[in-house]
Amino acid sequence: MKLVELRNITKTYRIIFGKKVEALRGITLVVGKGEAVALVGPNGAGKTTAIKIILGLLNPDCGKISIFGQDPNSDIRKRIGYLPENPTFYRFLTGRENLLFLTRMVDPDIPIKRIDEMLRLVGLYGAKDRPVRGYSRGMVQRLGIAQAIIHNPDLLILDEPLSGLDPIGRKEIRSILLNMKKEGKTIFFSTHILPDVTPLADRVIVINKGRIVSDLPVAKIGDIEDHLIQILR
Amino acid sequence: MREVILNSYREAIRDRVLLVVLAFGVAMIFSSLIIGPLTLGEEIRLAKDIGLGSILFFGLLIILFIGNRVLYRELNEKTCYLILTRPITRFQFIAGKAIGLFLTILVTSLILGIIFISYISLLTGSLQITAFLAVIGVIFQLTMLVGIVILAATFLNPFLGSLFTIFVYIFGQMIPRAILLAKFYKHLAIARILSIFHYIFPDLTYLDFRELLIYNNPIPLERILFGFSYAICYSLVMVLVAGLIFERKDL
Repeated sequence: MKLVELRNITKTYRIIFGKKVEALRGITLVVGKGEAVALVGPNGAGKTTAIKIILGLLNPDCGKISIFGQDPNSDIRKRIGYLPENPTFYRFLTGRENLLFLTRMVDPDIPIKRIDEMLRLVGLYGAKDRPVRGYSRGMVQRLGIAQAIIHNPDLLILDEPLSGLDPIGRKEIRSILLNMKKEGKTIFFSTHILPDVTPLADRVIVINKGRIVSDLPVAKIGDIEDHLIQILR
Repeated sequence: MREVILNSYREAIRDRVLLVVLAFGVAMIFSSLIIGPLTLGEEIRLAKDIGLGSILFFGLLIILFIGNRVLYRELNEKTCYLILTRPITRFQFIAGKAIGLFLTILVTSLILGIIFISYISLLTGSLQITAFLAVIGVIFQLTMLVGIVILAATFLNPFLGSLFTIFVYIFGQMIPRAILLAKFYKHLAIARILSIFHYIFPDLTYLDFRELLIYNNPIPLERILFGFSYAICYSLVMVLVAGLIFERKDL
């Protein structure tokens, strides 16, 4: 079953003085149920644009998108967990209040116990009552992971999930994501950190200058770094 | 949407600008105590004029300072990404922001309004129902400005949004008088053009009961009902247009 499907998606950004930048040039990609797919590529390749289009944050110029076989702007968002690149929260709210606010939009009856459970899982329980403005970059990233998985979504869309974390944090979050993968959740993530790709992903899609240049199972790739350098040269 | 409303209200109410504006508002209401004796027997009229004007002016300041940033912060700091990827439509988000801002204005105007009515009642020695209706009129005027500021925030930055809101406010105040002048001097074509603008810009004079209050005249019920209905419809249209613009916006 196809959970995410993009067909011939094109997106152009208009910059001042009529200048245009083609961020995506007719990309087509499919993510099946239970798959863990990594989207890798250099800066400005179009990774974040593709993710934003999947989530309906950006409107494509042309092409077709479907998530769970439906329009991305429908009620299926309950089944999606999203972590943006460099997530930001309400600075005047505490970590716990932020998580409660975001989760209540998906499940209005969420018990506080579940919020605390999630904060414990991502290692933020001790800082739960501190305003987010006092959080470090890594703590914000952990809170970002918590808000993405708290409602037990079927599909996780993560933009640079392990960036900003220290080595212990990376290991902990990777282990949470691996557990979700074992539970059969579908994970679609973009990353710059190539060593994180192999343990998490089943398949690697390489995007460059708005085009998909490679789409292979991890088993067929061998060394991911060599593979990427070879393709992008 | 309830969560967005509450959060928007909570964010605005925790803003320190609000406390400063409220403090100045209270000071202005009582400023007639100092200026009053200079007016030779017109203390009460002056107190009514300054008091009601202060509620409107400081409400407008809150809208300009807080209202313009309510949406800009969400877009600029990208906090809206986490909200708009949940089961909430963009229109619900905009409506939630508008209602949250309206609640802030309602609470602050009611605080200033209660102080104003108590002060006037103390000065006159009787409870002033007209003053209460005049305060409600000001709240409805501010409601229309909430709609305009939310609309402006969907396509302008806070600075330009503030200029836009001030321009709309001033133009909205001027148009009815300009139409009367154009008709008086028999410039019918100009009067017709201005009448078109009259439909677009908010006519705050429908809800301006200041003169009636100052000269102790009752406010006609039909004027109250028409003014309130006009304000509600106008604000709803503004939020609807803001929602339509935001719906198509790339985030």
